[in-house]
Amino acid sequence: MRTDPLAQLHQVTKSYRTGEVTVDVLRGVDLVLQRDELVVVHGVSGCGKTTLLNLVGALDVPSSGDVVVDGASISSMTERARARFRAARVGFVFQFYNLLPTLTAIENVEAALEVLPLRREEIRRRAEHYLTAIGLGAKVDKFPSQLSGGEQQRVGIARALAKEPPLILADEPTGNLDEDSGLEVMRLMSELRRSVAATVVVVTHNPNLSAFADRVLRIHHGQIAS
Amino acid sequence: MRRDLWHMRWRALAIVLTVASGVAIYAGIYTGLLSLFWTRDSIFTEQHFADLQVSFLPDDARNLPDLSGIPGVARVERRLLFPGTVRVPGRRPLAALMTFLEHPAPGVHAFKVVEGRLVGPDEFDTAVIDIWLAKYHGKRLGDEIEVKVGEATYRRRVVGIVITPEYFVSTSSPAYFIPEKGSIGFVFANLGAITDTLGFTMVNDLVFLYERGADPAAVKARVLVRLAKLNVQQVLSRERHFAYRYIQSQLEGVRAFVPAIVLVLLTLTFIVIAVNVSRMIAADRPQIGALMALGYQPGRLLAAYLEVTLILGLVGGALGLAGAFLVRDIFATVSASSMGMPELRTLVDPPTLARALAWQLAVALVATAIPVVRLVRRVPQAVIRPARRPVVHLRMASIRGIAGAIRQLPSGYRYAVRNLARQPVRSAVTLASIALALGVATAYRLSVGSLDTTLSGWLANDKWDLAVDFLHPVPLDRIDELKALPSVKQAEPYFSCYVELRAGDRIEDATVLGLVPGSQLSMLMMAEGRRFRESRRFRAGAEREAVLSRDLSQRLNLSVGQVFEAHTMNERFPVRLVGLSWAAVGALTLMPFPVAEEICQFPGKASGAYVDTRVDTDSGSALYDVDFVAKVLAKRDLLTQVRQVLSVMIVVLDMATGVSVVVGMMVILTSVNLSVLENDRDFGTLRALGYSRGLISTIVLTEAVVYAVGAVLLSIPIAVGTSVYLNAKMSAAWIQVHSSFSPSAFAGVLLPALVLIPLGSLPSLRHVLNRDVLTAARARALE
Repeated sequence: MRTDPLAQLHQVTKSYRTGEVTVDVLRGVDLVLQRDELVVVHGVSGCGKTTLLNLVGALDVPSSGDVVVDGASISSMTERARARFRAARVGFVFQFYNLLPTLTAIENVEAALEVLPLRREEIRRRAEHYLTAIGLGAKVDKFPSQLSGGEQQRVGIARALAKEPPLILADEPTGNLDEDSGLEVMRLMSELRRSVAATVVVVTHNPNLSAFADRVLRIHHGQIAS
Repeated sequence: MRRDLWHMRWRALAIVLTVASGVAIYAGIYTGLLSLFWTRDSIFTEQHFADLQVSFLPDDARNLPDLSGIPGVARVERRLLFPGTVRVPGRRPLAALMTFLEHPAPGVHAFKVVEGRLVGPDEFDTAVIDIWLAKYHGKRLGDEIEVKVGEATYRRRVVGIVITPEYFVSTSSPAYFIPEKGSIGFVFANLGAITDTLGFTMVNDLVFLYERGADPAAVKARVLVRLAKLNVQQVLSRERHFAYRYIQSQLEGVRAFVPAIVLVLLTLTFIVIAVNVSRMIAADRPQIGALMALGYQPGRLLAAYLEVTLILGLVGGALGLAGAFLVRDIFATVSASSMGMPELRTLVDPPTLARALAWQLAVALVATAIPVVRLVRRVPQAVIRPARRPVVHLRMASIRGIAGAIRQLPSGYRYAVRNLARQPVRSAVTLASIALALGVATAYRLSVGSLDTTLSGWLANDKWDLAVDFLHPVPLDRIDELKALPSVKQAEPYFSCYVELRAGDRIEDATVLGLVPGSQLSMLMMAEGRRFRESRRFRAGAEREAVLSRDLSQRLNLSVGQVFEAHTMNERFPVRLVGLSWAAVGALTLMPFPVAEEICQFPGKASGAYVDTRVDTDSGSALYDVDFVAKVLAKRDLLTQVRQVLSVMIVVLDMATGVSVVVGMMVILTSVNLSVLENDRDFGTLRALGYSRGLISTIVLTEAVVYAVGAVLLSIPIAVGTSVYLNAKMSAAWIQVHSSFSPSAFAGVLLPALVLIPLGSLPSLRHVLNRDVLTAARARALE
């Protein structure tokens, strides 16, 4: 693991307004994510884990403070710039896999690559490569409904890796899998992220995933507790 | 449920607008039709439209039989009618009909004064004119009008402009069942002036008004018995009068189109509401199941949904009823103008409005009840369980070729296209309903186009450029005066007169048209049998042959080969029916010229001529210089009139097209909205993957465009099939319509549909783009 910061959060706050009530979800968070590290984030529901993920992944902008990822300041980006940023530099892994049901496994991976300036052959090569690496080389033409939960999540990981992004964000990646499948998926993600030198942030309730972490963070009441 | 209305506002809007469209078109067109009929009938009643008109050779009024005391006749008036021409400076002469009235304020065919006043009882130098003469030829009060009748010229000062029911809609030529606004100038003057000049009262026309409730056929028979000694030229009952018959047939034609439009709208209402309610209850399943578990009866749950539909239906109905007035006014105004009606009286017909609303509400409630009943019949546990995420059906996409083509698309498009195969029933219903709406609208346009092509083809088939009516029958050798004109290449005489045809106990009025042997200019379109044998001279004892228009043979119950009798001027002529013709004009008896001469009892004379000019665009102005020429009808102008007549139908069709496109948008709104909501998470995922708003918009629009293109393609065979069916119906009832499939008829409906229908997806797109990305991406089940 290099000690080269990929992302830096400085005094980041995020508030949501619900009717008359303002909820401060993140309160003055300072955080540095190093390149190549795998960080596991724990915390109770509503503590701000997902909000943190949203900000680092350029899905949202902070209410105050600064979020800089791979040299780019998220806070000052337009919606269009954030979409471009996500396309090029962030891979997402979701709890419910979020595969497009009408696309095959390989097409799901290609869908993530088609928003990048890549040739068609290169898109196909990468999709096949990462699906094979994840152990689904024989099932590239299967639709999600023809795959098990674990296989679907592996397609989701291949989709995130195929972009070869500097940052992969996983939101409860094992939350919908049985324990064995969950650990297998986590093992694959942990190993393969090294091939693309990606920083991985995993938000989870599952304490067993800490075993794969270079660093474990705990969020409590909108602040990094440890 | 009522509280949920705001949350389902787009679905509610789709329901409201669909019901509104249905009510507006149903109520609008029907009240428009009723308004037009009401205009004709109320004006005819108020202005005492004649129940019977009898024309005869001019005679001294003292020679007329006693016309008093005919049972059933309330009033009879005598008139003298002269065809002539009006000279309008700077324009070609205008055909005119000079009517000398015994009573300046007639009690039959009474006047409605638009401007000025009526002719005074002792005024011999004044006249009133029909409104079209003022509107189209600029005649005003105080102008002097000069009507040339043969050698005589009548000069009158215009003191009034009137509407007369007699010429409420007028035709330029009785041989063609097509109105021509302002093509004849109608001038009314005092008969006393003629009496003063001649020393006796000359008349050639009687108009009768029947007593209320009298049997028209019986009264007509009594009148004709009383007039037996007159040289009757024409007997025209109310129903055969052009002004009455034309409006009737035109509006009946339009009315025939309307039920299919209404049926399509009701079907679409059913589909839109059934799809929306299905979606609503799919989303509400857990709540519905919970309420059922708490002991709520199915009937109560059903009532809740019916109540919401009823509220939305009533809102849509109210909007539709408001829209119906607009539809009525547009339709009635354009129709009245196209038919040449000088006045329009619109009416509100509460039963029609109520019927339109009731049908739409009934269909809406049934469309709501079916999916709700299907759900609440289940046990609560089965209802509580959320609906399964739709299984991917890719049978359509796996068809070889289609699958290959889809695979070439970028992922976003591929996703959108395959989404359609994911819900095959909904996609099929969406496609079918839009295609049905577009197909029927296109079919009507195709049929009107076919009618236009057929009628134009007919006219083109006849080689004449001008049809010339004479002021009076003229000796055949005077046709040479027409031929001598430099602009005339060829002229053929014809003879036309009124006859009464009898076959068994059936009696019909008809017009005889005698054509010269081997006519080069006038062709017969045979529907059955053969053309009559040509002969230059009728040989005594030879069998007379005739071709009847199909409508006439049907009314007389005559088949080809049978014999009927032609009655005229107290003579009877047996005639064999040798063929039937397609004819746009009803009640036509086509005969060899010598036979017509004999039956009409004008040997060696012609009542008109067909003229072929050297230049096709010749309007025939020069022919008015020949003193016996009354009216010149250019075929070119007739074609223009044909198109104007068809424009009435085009108005209805444009409305149908507009409604089809709006309904298509509603269906797309409903269907794409459902698809977007069901696939909310997919769009969230794509946005998280870096798909820009533009790309997401493209994906949503792709789905809508695929629907639109698919529906347009599917609508083509529907349009062709429906049009062929409509043409067959028209052929059976009227004239043989040859189906033609003009690309412009397709384009008129399908191009706006292609452009506008995808816009129905805009509310869904707005939802997708405004949705919080991660919330959407994290969503697990259907909302």
